Amino acid sequence: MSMAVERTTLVAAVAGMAVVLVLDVLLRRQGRQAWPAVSGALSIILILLTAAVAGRWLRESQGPFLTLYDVLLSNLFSLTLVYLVAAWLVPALRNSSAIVVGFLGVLGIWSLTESAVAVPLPATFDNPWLWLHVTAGKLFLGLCLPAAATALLLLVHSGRTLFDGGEMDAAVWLTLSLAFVCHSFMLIAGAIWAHSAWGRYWAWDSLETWTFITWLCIALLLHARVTFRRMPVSYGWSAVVAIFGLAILTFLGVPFLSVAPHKGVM
Amino acid sequence: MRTMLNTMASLKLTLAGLAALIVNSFAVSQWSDAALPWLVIPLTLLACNLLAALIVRHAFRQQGALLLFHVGLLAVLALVAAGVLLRFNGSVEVVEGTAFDPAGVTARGTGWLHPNRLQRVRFNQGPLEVRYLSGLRRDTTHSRIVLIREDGAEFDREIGDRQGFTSGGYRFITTFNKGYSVLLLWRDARGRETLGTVNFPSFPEFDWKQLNDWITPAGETLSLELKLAERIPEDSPWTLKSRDVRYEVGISGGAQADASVRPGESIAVAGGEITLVDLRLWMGYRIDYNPLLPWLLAAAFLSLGALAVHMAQKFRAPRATDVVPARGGEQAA
Repeated sequence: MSMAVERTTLVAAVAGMAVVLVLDVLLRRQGRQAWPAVSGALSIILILLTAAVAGRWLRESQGPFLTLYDVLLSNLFSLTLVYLVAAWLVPALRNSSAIVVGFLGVLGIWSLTESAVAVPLPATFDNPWLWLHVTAGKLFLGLCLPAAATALLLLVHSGRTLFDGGEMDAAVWLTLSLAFVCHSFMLIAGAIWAHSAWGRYWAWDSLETWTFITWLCIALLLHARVTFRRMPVSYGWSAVVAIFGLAILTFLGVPFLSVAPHKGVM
Repeated sequence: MRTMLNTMASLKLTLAGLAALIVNSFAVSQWSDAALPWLVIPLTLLACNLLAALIVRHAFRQQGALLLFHVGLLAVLALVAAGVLLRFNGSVEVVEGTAFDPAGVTARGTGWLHPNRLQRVRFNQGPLEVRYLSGLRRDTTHSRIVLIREDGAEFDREIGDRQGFTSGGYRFITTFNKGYSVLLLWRDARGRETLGTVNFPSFPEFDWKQLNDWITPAGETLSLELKLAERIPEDSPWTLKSRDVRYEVGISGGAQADASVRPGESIAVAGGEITLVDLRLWMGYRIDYNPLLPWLLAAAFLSLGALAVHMAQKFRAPRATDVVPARGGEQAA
């Protein structure tokens, strides 16, 4: 696949997200079920994103690990895939599809503004632990997105009986907890890779530090939920949204603003 | 005693410890190693908090997976702390055709309880190659070494960016730091000969500054400059190696006039004579010692597995029929 075809495929996927967003909102306003149409359209978008990632991978003979464009493209693919699977398994997550698709659209537009020129991977990136590290990271972010989107939806509709809040609240904490497990594995796999690549398992570089801080924040939130059981539920939802914001800042901001040795690895 | 343990086991104390750890982690990233001791306070607080909870919280002890996760975290913490006390980090430059010399190691971090066993490390540096892609982008490193065991048995190994080696408990990995070295033969006025090497700055990073000073056995300081006959090709792949390289070495300083010597040529200087024998490469290795790493890894995976089991026990997938939207919400298919 040439770069022009790859960009056209990505443009089609982003345009598809805009269509899905409009469709989602319209169907919900009419009081109809949006998920069958939304999930079908998202599946088509996922095929387009898969084609763009695979085509780029084959053309450049390397995975999408290094540049901001690579990271955005691969995250569009993984976030869409994880959301579809998560919403299929946990139906309460389907209610937040408009927020998820809106976020994916923003990422898509951002990716179209970035240079698609590939940068060769350093030899130290050729390591199976890197694959596990990145996969766990993608799963973490992929699970955080529906958790935060659902929490945001609950916050926006707080006090109204638009949704079954109890079920959605449970879905928020389920996905955040699973994200925490994935995050923990990401830290371990990353440490093993770093030890293999640079002879140290931890160095407090910007990306490592902010990733650890994100992990600590989730741990803090999970403990706070147990400690303050009478705390208004909206506090917890706000914190979940904030943690997703921190995770996005960590994975899509810090690597490209710092000179960390594994710049842009996510 | 019980009251104190109850206070110590408070979840609010856990929150305070985690919050302090977040703040101090940020401080460490900003002020590097100088702020590392700051981590000790929240980590000690959290460890005491957890130990107290293990003693007084019956409900906590009853949740096996959650308990194992937290015990695993304690083990990770203890192993990290012990690893810091035992650790050694350093670097060394080893020239092709020479043996590793512990005296050449530069220590960057040594734990208080580090048992210095560098003397047990034995290996010889074989041929080196660093391959570059077009545009002088570094590709792969190939370093052949001969590992010598304590019983004298020798093992030939090729190592590189993805593969280090361990000797005497110390792990060596190649770095981006490497360059040229010249093998010189010093012959003093009595005819006694000494062979040695002089390393030049990292190459090709400092290709414009291949200079180094050398104090001869007679005490004279000479400036050596490596002059390569060919430029590095920018638009095609290239390999950094010591074979088939045309070069000469400029010698200045001291009492004699500036001169250049080619391989095999000699030059008389104060107190003796220098012969340029050969061109070699040196490789910069990073050295790491932490005998607890396998245990740390085991504790981390044990903790992770327990966390996964705990989450699986805690949450059950919501049944599809449970989801009933009030209006506009999604009902399970």
